[in-house]
Amino acid sequence: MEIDIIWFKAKMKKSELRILLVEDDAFTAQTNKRLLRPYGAVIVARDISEAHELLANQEFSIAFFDLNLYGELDGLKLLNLAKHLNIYSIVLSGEVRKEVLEEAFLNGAKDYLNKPFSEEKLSSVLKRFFIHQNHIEFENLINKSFITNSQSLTEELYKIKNLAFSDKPVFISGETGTGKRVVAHLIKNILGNENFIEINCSQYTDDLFASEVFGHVSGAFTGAKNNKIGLLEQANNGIIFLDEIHALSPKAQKTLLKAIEEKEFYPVGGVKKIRSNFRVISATCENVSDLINQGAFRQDLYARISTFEIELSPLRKRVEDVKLLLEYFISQQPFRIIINDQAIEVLSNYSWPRNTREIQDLVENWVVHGNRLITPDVLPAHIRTNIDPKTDIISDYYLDLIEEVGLKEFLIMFKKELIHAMIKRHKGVVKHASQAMGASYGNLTSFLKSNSGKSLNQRRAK
Amino acid sequence: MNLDSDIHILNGYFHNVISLLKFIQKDAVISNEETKEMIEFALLKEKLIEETLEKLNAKEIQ
Repeated sequence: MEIDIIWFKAKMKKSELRILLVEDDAFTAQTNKRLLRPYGAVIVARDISEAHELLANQEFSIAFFDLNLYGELDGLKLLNLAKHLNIYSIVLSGEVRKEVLEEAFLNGAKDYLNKPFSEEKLSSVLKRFFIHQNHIEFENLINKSFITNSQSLTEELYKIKNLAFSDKPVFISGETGTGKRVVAHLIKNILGNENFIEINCSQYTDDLFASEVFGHVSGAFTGAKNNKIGLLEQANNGIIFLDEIHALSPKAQKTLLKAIEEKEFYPVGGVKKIRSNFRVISATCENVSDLINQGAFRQDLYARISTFEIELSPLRKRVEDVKLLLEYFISQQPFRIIINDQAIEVLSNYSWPRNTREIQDLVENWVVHGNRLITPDVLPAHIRTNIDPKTDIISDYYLDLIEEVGLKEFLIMFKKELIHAMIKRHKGVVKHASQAMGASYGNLTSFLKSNSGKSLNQRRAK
Repeated sequence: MNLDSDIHILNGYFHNVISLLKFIQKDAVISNEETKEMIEFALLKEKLIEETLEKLNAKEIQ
Protein backbone atom coordinates (compact mmCIF):
# COMPACT_ATOMS: atom_id res chain seq x y z
CA MET A 1 0.00 0.00 0.00
CA GLU A 2 2.74 2.45 0.97
CA ILE A 3 4.51 1.76 -2.31
CA ASP A 4 1.29 2.47 -4.20
CA ILE A 5 0.81 5.80 -2.47
CA ILE A 6 4.42 6.76 -3.19
CA TRP A 7 3.97 5.68 -6.81
CA PHE A 8 0.75 7.66 -7.06
CA LYS A 9 2.21 10.79 -5.50
CA ALA A 10 5.25 10.62 -7.74
CA LYS A 11 3.00 10.46 -10.76
CA MET A 12 0.64 13.14 -9.48
CA LYS A 13 3.44 15.65 -9.62
CA LYS A 14 1.20 18.66 -10.02
CA SER A 15 -1.36 19.85 -7.52
CA GLU A 16 -2.87 17.64 -4.87
CA LEU A 17 -6.05 15.82 -5.78
CA ARG A 18 -9.37 17.15 -4.54
CA ILE A 19 -11.63 14.24 -3.73
CA LEU A 20 -15.35 14.37 -3.06
CA LEU A 21 -16.74 11.54 -0.94
CA VAL A 22 -20.51 11.19 -0.73
CA GLU A 23 -21.50 8.77 2.06
CA ASP A 24 -24.50 8.80 4.36
CA ASP A 25 -23.12 6.59 7.15
CA ALA A 26 -20.93 8.60 9.52
CA PHE A 27 -18.66 5.73 10.58
CA THR A 28 -18.11 4.57 6.97
CA ALA A 29 -17.58 8.16 5.79
CA GLN A 30 -14.89 8.70 8.41
CA THR A 31 -13.20 5.38 7.63
CA ASN A 32 -13.14 6.00 3.90
CA LYS A 33 -12.00 9.56 4.39
CA ARG A 34 -8.99 8.24 6.28
CA LEU A 35 -8.30 5.66 3.58
CA LEU A 36 -8.48 8.27 0.84
CA ARG A 37 -6.50 10.98 2.62
CA PRO A 38 -3.04 9.82 1.49
CA TYR A 39 -4.12 10.55 -2.09
CA GLY A 40 -5.37 14.09 -1.64
CA ALA A 41 -7.75 16.46 0.12
CA VAL A 42 -11.00 14.66 0.94
CA ILE A 43 -14.24 16.59 1.33
CA VAL A 44 -17.22 14.65 2.64
CA ALA A 45 -20.89 15.18 1.80
CA ARG A 46 -23.39 13.26 3.92
CA ASP A 47 -26.49 13.74 1.74
CA ILE A 48 -27.60 14.79 -1.74
CA SER A 49 -28.11 18.48 -0.95
CA GLU A 50 -24.68 18.80 0.67
CA ALA A 51 -23.16 17.05 -2.36
CA HIS A 52 -25.03 19.37 -4.73
CA GLU A 53 -23.72 22.41 -2.94
CA LEU A 54 -20.14 21.17 -2.93
CA LEU A 55 -20.27 20.22 -6.60
CA ALA A 56 -21.69 23.64 -7.47
CA ASN A 57 -19.15 25.64 -5.50
CA GLN A 58 -15.91 23.68 -5.44
CA GLU A 59 -13.70 21.94 -7.94
CA PHE A 60 -13.05 18.21 -7.76
CA SER A 61 -11.10 15.92 -10.04
CA ILE A 62 -12.52 12.73 -8.61
CA ALA A 63 -15.65 11.78 -6.68
CA PHE A 64 -16.78 8.66 -4.82
CA PHE A 65 -20.54 8.27 -4.73
CA ASP A 66 -22.45 5.99 -2.43
CA LEU A 67 -25.46 5.15 -4.58
CA ASN A 68 -27.85 4.47 -1.76
CA LEU A 69 -28.30 7.60 0.35
CA TYR A 70 -30.82 7.20 3.20
CA GLY A 71 -32.69 4.48 1.30
CA GLU A 72 -32.92 6.41 -1.99
CA LEU A 73 -30.76 5.91 -5.08
CA ASP A 74 -29.76 9.58 -5.03
CA GLY A 75 -26.17 8.75 -5.96
CA LEU A 76 -27.41 8.14 -9.53
CA LYS A 77 -28.58 11.75 -9.83
CA LEU A 78 -25.26 13.04 -8.53
CA LEU A 79 -23.40 10.97 -11.11
CA ASN A 80 -25.17 12.83 -13.86
CA LEU A 81 -24.17 16.18 -12.43
CA ALA A 82 -20.56 15.09 -11.96
CA LYS A 83 -20.47 13.92 -15.58
CA HIS A 84 -21.39 17.40 -16.78
CA LEU A 85 -18.70 18.86 -14.55
CA ASN A 86 -16.10 16.49 -16.06
CA ILE A 87 -15.43 14.80 -12.73
CA TYR A 88 -14.13 11.25 -12.75
CA SER A 89 -16.81 9.38 -10.80
CA ILE A 90 -16.50 6.14 -8.91
CA VAL A 91 -19.51 4.29 -7.62
CA LEU A 92 -19.05 3.24 -4.04
CA SER A 93 -21.76 0.96 -2.95
CA GLY A 94 -22.86 -2.37 -1.66
CA GLU A 95 -25.59 -2.16 -4.27
CA VAL A 96 -24.90 -4.96 -6.72
CA ARG A 97 -28.12 -5.11 -8.72
CA LYS A 98 -27.01 -5.27 -12.33
CA GLU A 99 -29.61 -2.80 -13.64
CA VAL A 100 -28.61 -0.20 -11.03
CA LEU A 101 -24.96 -0.56 -11.95
CA GLU A 102 -25.84 -0.25 -15.63
CA GLU A 103 -27.71 2.96 -14.91
CA ALA A 104 -24.77 4.24 -12.87
CA PHE A 105 -22.43 3.73 -15.80
CA LEU A 106 -24.95 5.30 -18.19
CA ASN A 107 -25.05 8.28 -15.85
CA GLY A 108 -21.31 8.75 -16.17
CA ALA A 109 -19.64 6.45 -13.62
CA LYS A 110 -16.14 5.51 -14.72
CA ASP A 111 -15.41 2.82 -12.16
CA TYR A 112 -16.96 0.76 -9.41
CA LEU A 113 -15.73 -0.06 -5.95
CA ASN A 114 -17.67 -2.61 -3.94
CA LYS A 115 -18.23 -1.52 -0.36
CA PRO A 116 -16.56 -2.28 1.98
CA PHE A 117 -13.31 -2.12 0.05
CA SER A 118 -9.74 -3.04 0.84
CA GLU A 119 -6.85 -0.59 0.58
CA GLU A 120 -5.49 -2.63 -2.35
CA LYS A 121 -8.75 -2.31 -4.30
CA LEU A 122 -8.87 1.41 -3.61
CA SER A 123 -5.32 1.72 -4.84
CA SER A 124 -6.18 -0.13 -8.10
CA VAL A 125 -9.16 2.14 -8.73
CA LEU A 126 -7.02 5.24 -8.17
CA LYS A 127 -4.34 3.90 -10.48
CA ARG A 128 -6.95 3.50 -13.20
CA PHE A 129 -8.07 7.09 -12.56
CA PHE A 130 -4.50 8.29 -12.85
CA ILE A 131 -3.97 6.40 -16.11
CA HIS A 132 -7.23 7.86 -17.47
CA GLN A 133 -6.16 11.40 -16.54
CA ASN A 134 -2.75 10.92 -18.06
CA HIS A 135 -4.17 9.45 -21.24
CA ILE A 136 -6.25 12.60 -21.76
CA GLU A 137 -3.19 14.77 -21.10
CA PHE A 138 -1.04 12.63 -23.42
CA GLU A 139 -3.64 12.69 -26.19
CA ASN A 140 -3.64 16.49 -26.05
CA LEU A 141 0.14 16.51 -26.19
CA ILE A 142 0.20 14.12 -29.16
CA ASN A 143 -2.49 16.12 -31.00
CA LYS A 144 -0.48 19.30 -30.50
CA SER A 145 2.77 17.73 -31.69
CA PHE A 146 1.42 15.94 -34.74
CA ILE A 147 -0.75 17.44 -37.43
CA THR A 148 -2.79 14.68 -38.95
CA ASN A 149 -6.33 13.74 -39.85
CA SER A 150 -5.32 10.17 -40.53
CA GLN A 151 -7.08 7.80 -38.17
CA SER A 152 -4.51 5.04 -38.60
CA LEU A 153 -1.59 7.36 -37.83
CA THR A 154 -3.44 8.82 -34.84
CA GLU A 155 -4.07 5.32 -33.49
CA GLU A 156 -0.41 4.47 -33.97
CA LEU A 157 0.63 7.65 -32.15
CA TYR A 158 -1.81 7.05 -29.30
CA LYS A 159 0.13 3.85 -28.55
CA ILE A 160 2.72 6.21 -27.06
CA LYS A 161 0.31 6.87 -24.18
CA ASN A 162 1.04 3.45 -22.72
CA LEU A 163 4.78 4.06 -22.66
CA ALA A 164 4.52 6.07 -19.46
CA PHE A 165 3.69 2.89 -17.60
CA SER A 166 6.55 0.75 -18.86
CA ASP A 167 10.29 1.00 -19.23
CA LYS A 168 10.53 -0.96 -22.46
CA PRO A 169 12.70 0.15 -25.39
CA VAL A 170 10.98 1.91 -28.26
CA PHE A 171 11.69 1.49 -31.95
CA ILE A 172 10.41 4.11 -34.37
CA SER A 173 10.34 3.41 -38.07
CA GLY A 174 9.28 5.66 -40.90
CA GLU A 175 10.57 7.28 -44.04
CA THR A 176 12.59 10.48 -43.99
CA GLY A 177 10.52 13.44 -42.84
CA THR A 178 7.70 11.44 -41.21
CA GLY A 179 8.50 12.82 -37.75
CA LYS A 180 10.57 10.16 -35.99
CA ARG A 181 12.46 12.78 -33.97
CA VAL A 182 9.20 14.48 -33.07
CA VAL A 183 7.94 11.15 -31.70
CA ALA A 184 11.16 10.60 -29.73
CA HIS A 185 10.81 14.04 -28.12
CA LEU A 186 7.13 13.40 -27.50
CA ILE A 187 8.03 10.22 -25.59
CA LYS A 188 10.54 12.23 -23.58
CA ASN A 189 7.80 14.70 -22.67
CA ILE A 190 5.32 11.97 -21.81
CA LEU A 191 7.85 10.21 -19.61
CA GLY A 192 8.68 13.55 -18.04
CA ASN A 193 12.36 12.67 -18.21
CA GLU A 194 14.58 15.64 -18.97
CA ASN A 195 17.71 13.50 -19.25
CA PHE A 196 17.44 12.92 -22.98
CA ILE A 197 20.61 12.19 -24.94
CA GLU A 198 20.40 12.17 -28.71
CA ILE A 199 22.84 10.71 -31.21
CA ASN A 200 22.68 10.30 -34.98
CA CYS A 201 24.43 6.99 -35.64
CA SER A 202 25.07 7.81 -39.29
CA GLN A 203 27.53 10.55 -38.36
CA TYR A 204 30.15 8.35 -36.75
CA THR A 205 32.83 5.94 -37.76
CA ASP A 206 33.20 2.81 -35.59
CA ASP A 207 35.96 4.29 -33.45
CA LEU A 208 34.22 7.62 -33.02
CA PHE A 209 30.95 5.91 -32.17
CA ALA A 210 32.60 3.82 -29.46
CA SER A 211 34.34 6.84 -28.00
CA GLU A 212 31.16 8.96 -28.06
CA VAL A 213 28.80 6.30 -26.75
CA PHE A 214 30.96 4.40 -24.27
CA GLY A 215 33.42 7.20 -23.47
CA HIS A 216 37.18 6.78 -23.25
CA VAL A 217 39.98 7.02 -20.75
CA SER A 218 42.91 9.31 -21.10
CA GLY A 219 45.58 7.84 -23.37
CA ALA A 220 43.19 5.33 -24.95
CA PHE A 221 44.24 6.58 -28.39
CA THR A 222 46.21 9.42 -29.92
CA GLY A 223 44.53 12.66 -28.94
CA ALA A 224 42.65 11.22 -25.95
CA LYS A 225 44.21 13.60 -23.45
CA ASN A 226 41.41 13.43 -20.86
CA ASN A 227 38.80 10.97 -19.71
CA LYS A 228 35.54 11.35 -21.61
CA ILE A 229 32.17 10.37 -20.21
CA GLY A 230 30.19 8.44 -22.82
CA LEU A 231 26.63 9.20 -23.86
CA LEU A 232 25.35 5.96 -22.32
CA GLU A 233 26.74 6.99 -18.97
CA GLN A 234 25.26 10.45 -19.36
CA ALA A 235 21.91 8.82 -20.07
CA ASN A 236 21.88 7.13 -16.66
CA ASN A 237 18.26 7.13 -15.39
CA GLY A 238 17.31 8.83 -18.61
CA ILE A 239 16.80 8.16 -22.28
CA ILE A 240 19.24 7.66 -25.13
CA PHE A 241 17.82 8.28 -28.59
CA LEU A 242 19.74 6.42 -31.29
CA ASP A 243 18.64 7.97 -34.57
CA GLU A 244 19.44 6.25 -37.89
CA ILE A 245 20.45 3.13 -35.99
CA HIS A 246 20.63 1.12 -39.24
CA ALA A 247 23.82 3.03 -40.12
CA LEU A 248 25.81 1.27 -37.41
CA SER A 249 28.45 -1.18 -38.56
CA PRO A 250 28.15 -4.86 -37.50
CA LYS A 251 30.94 -4.26 -34.97
CA ALA A 252 29.20 -1.25 -33.44
CA GLN A 253 25.90 -3.15 -33.39
CA LYS A 254 27.52 -5.97 -31.45
CA THR A 255 29.04 -3.74 -28.76
CA LEU A 256 25.85 -1.72 -28.47
CA LEU A 257 23.75 -4.87 -28.07
CA LYS A 258 25.97 -6.07 -25.22
CA ALA A 259 25.72 -2.70 -23.47
CA ILE A 260 21.93 -2.64 -23.84
CA GLU A 261 21.57 -6.19 -22.55
CA GLU A 262 23.87 -5.81 -19.58
CA LYS A 263 23.45 -2.09 -18.90
CA GLU A 264 27.21 -2.22 -18.35
CA PHE A 265 30.13 -1.40 -20.64
CA TYR A 266 33.80 -0.50 -20.74
CA PRO A 267 34.90 2.94 -21.92
CA VAL A 268 37.43 2.78 -24.77
CA GLY A 269 40.78 1.83 -23.21
CA GLY A 270 39.17 1.42 -19.78
CA VAL A 271 39.42 -1.53 -17.42
CA LYS A 272 36.61 -0.55 -15.08
CA LYS A 273 33.04 -1.33 -16.10
CA ILE A 274 30.55 1.52 -16.08
CA ARG A 275 26.98 0.80 -15.03
CA SER A 276 24.16 2.91 -16.44
CA ASN A 277 20.40 2.52 -16.29
CA PHE A 278 19.26 3.99 -19.59
CA ARG A 279 16.17 3.57 -21.71
CA VAL A 280 16.70 3.16 -25.45
CA ILE A 281 14.65 4.82 -28.15
CA SER A 282 15.90 4.10 -31.64
CA ALA A 283 14.76 5.13 -35.08
CA THR A 284 15.36 4.25 -38.68
CA CYS A 285 14.15 5.30 -42.10
CA GLU A 286 15.13 1.94 -43.57
CA ASN A 287 13.16 -1.28 -43.82
CA VAL A 288 14.75 -3.26 -41.00
CA SER A 289 13.38 -6.62 -42.14
CA ASP A 290 15.18 -6.16 -45.45
CA LEU A 291 18.38 -5.17 -43.66
CA ILE A 292 18.15 -8.25 -41.44
CA ASN A 293 17.59 -10.48 -44.49
CA GLN A 294 20.62 -8.93 -46.16
CA GLY A 295 22.67 -9.51 -43.00
CA ALA A 296 23.22 -5.77 -42.55
CA PHE A 297 21.38 -5.53 -39.24
CA ARG A 298 21.53 -7.93 -36.32
CA GLN A 299 18.29 -9.76 -35.61
CA ASP A 300 19.13 -9.99 -31.89
CA LEU A 301 19.73 -6.24 -31.63
CA TYR A 302 16.45 -5.55 -33.38
CA ALA A 303 14.64 -7.94 -31.02
CA ARG A 304 16.20 -6.19 -28.04
CA ILE A 305 15.34 -2.62 -29.09
CA SER A 306 11.92 -3.15 -30.65
CA THR A 307 9.77 -4.33 -27.74
CA PHE A 308 7.55 -1.36 -28.41
CA GLU A 309 7.31 -0.39 -32.06
CA ILE A 310 5.85 2.71 -33.66
CA GLU A 311 5.53 2.88 -37.42
CA LEU A 312 4.97 6.26 -38.99
CA SER A 313 3.17 6.02 -42.31
CA PRO A 314 4.43 8.10 -45.24
CA LEU A 315 2.47 11.08 -46.46
CA ARG A 316 1.56 9.43 -49.76
CA LYS A 317 -0.50 6.92 -47.76
CA ARG A 318 -2.45 9.67 -46.02
CA VAL A 319 -3.38 12.09 -48.77
CA GLU A 320 -5.89 13.75 -46.44
CA ASP A 321 -2.96 15.25 -44.54
CA VAL A 322 -1.39 17.08 -47.50
CA LYS A 323 -3.90 19.95 -47.47
CA LEU A 324 -3.91 20.03 -43.68
CA LEU A 325 -0.11 20.31 -43.49
CA LEU A 326 0.00 22.93 -46.22
CA GLU A 327 -2.52 25.01 -44.29
CA TYR A 328 -0.56 24.53 -41.09
CA PHE A 329 2.79 25.60 -42.53
CA ILE A 330 1.16 28.52 -44.37
CA SER A 331 -0.41 29.66 -41.07
CA GLN A 332 3.10 29.84 -39.60
CA GLN A 333 4.24 32.32 -42.28
CA PRO A 334 4.27 36.10 -42.00
CA PHE A 335 1.85 36.54 -44.93
CA ARG A 336 -1.11 34.72 -46.38
CA ILE A 337 -0.57 32.32 -49.25
CA ILE A 338 -3.47 31.10 -51.37
CA ILE A 339 -3.30 27.81 -53.25
CA ASN A 340 -5.80 27.46 -56.08
CA ASP A 341 -7.81 24.27 -56.61
CA GLN A 342 -5.73 23.04 -59.57
CA ALA A 343 -2.53 23.41 -57.58
CA ILE A 344 -4.12 21.61 -54.62
CA GLU A 345 -4.97 18.74 -56.95
CA VAL A 346 -1.40 18.55 -58.24
CA LEU A 347 -0.05 18.70 -54.68
CA SER A 348 -2.45 15.99 -53.53
CA ASN A 349 -1.35 13.69 -56.32
CA TYR A 350 2.34 14.16 -55.61
CA SER A 351 4.08 11.33 -53.73
CA TRP A 352 6.05 13.51 -51.25
CA PRO A 353 9.13 11.29 -50.92
CA ARG A 354 10.54 13.55 -48.18
CA ASN A 355 7.15 13.65 -46.46
CA THR A 356 6.21 16.46 -44.04
CA ARG A 357 9.64 18.07 -44.24
CA GLU A 358 9.19 18.47 -48.00
CA ILE A 359 5.88 20.33 -47.52
CA GLN A 360 7.52 22.61 -44.97
CA ASP A 361 10.43 23.32 -47.33
CA LEU A 362 8.05 24.01 -50.20
CA VAL A 363 6.00 26.54 -48.22
CA GLU A 364 9.17 28.24 -46.96
CA ASN A 365 10.38 28.38 -50.55
CA TRP A 366 7.18 30.18 -51.58
CA VAL A 367 7.80 32.71 -48.82
CA VAL A 368 11.40 33.29 -49.94
CA HIS A 369 10.24 33.83 -53.52
CA GLY A 370 7.29 35.99 -52.49
CA ASN A 371 4.71 33.65 -54.04
CA ARG A 372 1.29 34.64 -52.70
CA LEU A 373 -0.94 32.81 -55.15
CA ILE A 374 0.04 29.23 -55.87
CA THR A 375 -1.05 27.90 -59.24
CA PRO A 376 0.27 24.72 -60.90
CA ASP A 377 2.85 26.67 -62.93
CA VAL A 378 4.41 28.01 -59.70
CA LEU A 379 5.03 24.44 -58.51
CA PRO A 380 8.40 22.82 -59.17
CA ALA A 381 8.51 20.58 -62.25
CA HIS A 382 9.13 17.42 -60.24
CA ILE A 383 5.90 18.01 -58.32
CA ARG A 384 3.93 18.74 -61.47
CA THR A 385 5.24 15.55 -63.07
CA ASN A 386 5.28 13.63 -59.78
CA ILE A 387 8.86 12.52 -60.18
CA ASP A 388 11.16 12.44 -57.22
CA PRO A 389 14.10 14.71 -58.16
CA LYS A 390 16.41 12.24 -56.48
CA THR A 391 15.23 9.43 -58.74
CA ASP A 392 17.43 8.82 -61.78
CA ILE A 393 15.32 9.31 -64.91
CA ILE A 394 17.85 7.30 -66.92
CA SER A 395 17.55 3.77 -65.62
CA ASP A 396 20.31 1.16 -65.63
CA TYR A 397 18.34 -0.70 -68.29
CA TYR A 398 18.85 2.15 -70.77
CA LEU A 399 22.50 2.55 -69.88
CA ASP A 400 23.07 -1.19 -70.41
CA LEU A 401 21.30 -0.96 -73.75
CA ILE A 402 23.43 1.98 -74.90
CA GLU A 403 26.51 -0.08 -74.07
CA GLU A 404 25.07 -3.02 -75.99
CA VAL A 405 23.77 -1.35 -79.19
CA GLY A 406 25.59 1.98 -79.19
CA LEU A 407 24.10 5.47 -78.66
CA LYS A 408 22.99 5.99 -82.28
CA GLU A 409 20.95 2.81 -82.45
CA PHE A 410 19.55 3.40 -78.94
CA LEU A 411 18.36 6.90 -79.83
CA ILE A 412 16.47 5.57 -82.87
CA MET A 413 14.72 2.97 -80.72
CA PHE A 414 13.98 5.50 -77.99
CA LYS A 415 12.63 8.05 -80.48
CA LYS A 416 10.36 5.38 -81.92
CA GLU A 417 9.07 4.50 -78.47
CA LEU A 418 8.34 8.16 -77.71
CA ILE A 419 6.48 8.59 -81.01
CA HIS A 420 4.32 5.52 -80.33
CA ALA A 421 3.58 6.78 -76.83
CA MET A 422 2.48 10.15 -78.24
CA ILE A 423 0.29 8.50 -80.89
CA LYS A 424 -1.32 6.46 -78.12
CA ARG A 425 -1.91 9.61 -76.07
CA HIS A 426 -3.67 11.15 -79.11
CA LYS A 427 -5.92 8.13 -79.45
CA GLY A 428 -4.08 6.72 -82.48
CA VAL A 429 -4.40 9.87 -84.59
CA VAL A 430 -0.88 10.26 -86.02
CA LYS A 431 -1.60 13.71 -87.39
CA HIS A 432 -2.53 15.06 -83.97
CA ALA A 433 0.51 13.41 -82.39
CA SER A 434 2.83 14.96 -84.99
CA GLN A 435 1.30 18.40 -84.39
CA ALA A 436 1.71 18.01 -80.64
CA MET A 437 5.37 17.09 -81.11
CA GLY A 438 6.03 19.91 -83.56
CA ALA A 439 7.08 17.38 -86.21
CA SER A 440 5.75 17.02 -89.75
CA TYR A 441 3.36 14.16 -90.43
CA GLY A 442 5.48 13.01 -93.40
CA ASN A 443 8.74 12.88 -91.47
CA LEU A 444 7.08 11.00 -88.65
CA THR A 445 5.51 8.29 -90.80
CA SER A 446 8.64 7.85 -92.91
CA PHE A 447 10.75 7.52 -89.71
CA LEU A 448 8.43 4.84 -88.38
CA LYS A 449 8.45 2.97 -91.72
CA SER A 450 12.21 3.00 -92.13
CA ASN A 451 12.80 1.81 -88.58
CA SER A 452 9.98 -0.71 -88.28
CA GLY A 453 12.20 -3.49 -86.98
CA LYS A 454 13.81 -1.54 -84.18
CA SER A 455 11.58 -1.65 -81.14
CA LEU A 456 12.67 -0.91 -77.61
CA ASN A 457 9.59 -2.62 -76.27
CA GLN A 458 10.35 -5.82 -78.17
CA ARG A 459 13.89 -5.83 -76.78
CA ARG A 460 12.57 -5.23 -73.29
CA ALA A 461 10.19 -8.18 -73.67
CA LYS A 462 13.22 -10.38 -74.31
CA MET B 1 -34.66 -5.73 6.38
CA ASN B 2 -33.69 -8.83 4.43
CA LEU B 3 -30.71 -11.10 4.89
CA ASP B 4 -28.68 -9.38 2.11
CA SER B 5 -29.08 -6.05 3.79
CA ASP B 6 -28.17 -7.51 7.19
CA ILE B 7 -25.00 -9.03 5.80
CA HIS B 8 -24.16 -5.76 4.09
CA ILE B 9 -24.50 -3.86 7.36
CA LEU B 10 -22.41 -6.44 9.20
CA ASN B 11 -19.78 -6.42 6.48
CA GLY B 12 -19.55 -2.63 6.45
CA TYR B 13 -19.35 -2.43 10.23
CA PHE B 14 -16.67 -5.11 10.39
CA HIS B 15 -14.64 -3.34 7.72
CA ASN B 16 -14.88 -0.01 9.52
CA VAL B 17 -13.85 -1.52 12.85
CA ILE B 18 -10.89 -3.29 11.28
CA SER B 19 -9.83 -0.03 9.64
CA LEU B 20 -10.24 1.75 12.97
CA LEU B 21 -8.06 -0.82 14.73
CA LYS B 22 -5.42 -0.37 12.04
CA PHE B 23 -5.50 3.40 12.44
CA ILE B 24 -5.23 3.08 16.23
CA GLN B 25 -2.33 0.69 15.83
CA LYS B 26 -0.62 3.14 13.50
CA ASP B 27 -1.42 6.49 15.13
CA ALA B 28 -2.00 6.05 18.82
CA VAL B 29 0.48 5.65 21.63
CA ILE B 30 -0.95 2.71 23.56
CA SER B 31 0.56 2.44 27.01
CA ASN B 32 -1.09 -0.83 27.95
CA GLU B 33 0.78 -3.75 26.37
CA GLU B 34 -2.26 -6.01 26.74
CA THR B 35 -4.38 -3.61 24.67
CA LYS B 36 -1.69 -3.57 22.01
CA GLU B 37 -1.72 -7.35 22.01
CA MET B 38 -5.51 -7.45 21.79
CA ILE B 39 -5.49 -5.22 18.72
CA GLU B 40 -2.94 -7.49 17.10
CA PHE B 41 -5.10 -10.55 17.85
CA ALA B 42 -8.19 -8.82 16.51
CA LEU B 43 -6.40 -7.95 13.27
CA LEU B 44 -5.11 -11.51 12.94
CA LYS B 45 -8.74 -12.62 12.63
CA GLU B 46 -9.41 -10.16 9.78
CA LYS B 47 -8.96 -12.68 6.98
CA LEU B 48 -11.04 -15.35 8.72
CA ILE B 49 -13.96 -13.01 9.38
CA GLU B 50 -13.75 -11.65 5.87
CA GLU B 51 -14.03 -15.16 4.43
CA THR B 52 -16.92 -15.99 6.75
CA LEU B 53 -18.78 -12.90 5.61
CA GLU B 54 -18.16 -13.80 1.99
CA LYS B 55 -19.64 -17.26 2.61
CA LEU B 56 -22.63 -15.65 4.29
CA ASN B 57 -23.00 -13.39 1.33
CA ALA B 58 -22.94 -16.38 -1.00
CA LYS B 59 -25.68 -17.96 1.20
CA GLU B 60 -23.49 -20.94 2.01
CA ILE B 61 -24.34 -20.42 5.66
CA GLN B 62 -28.03 -20.10 6.49
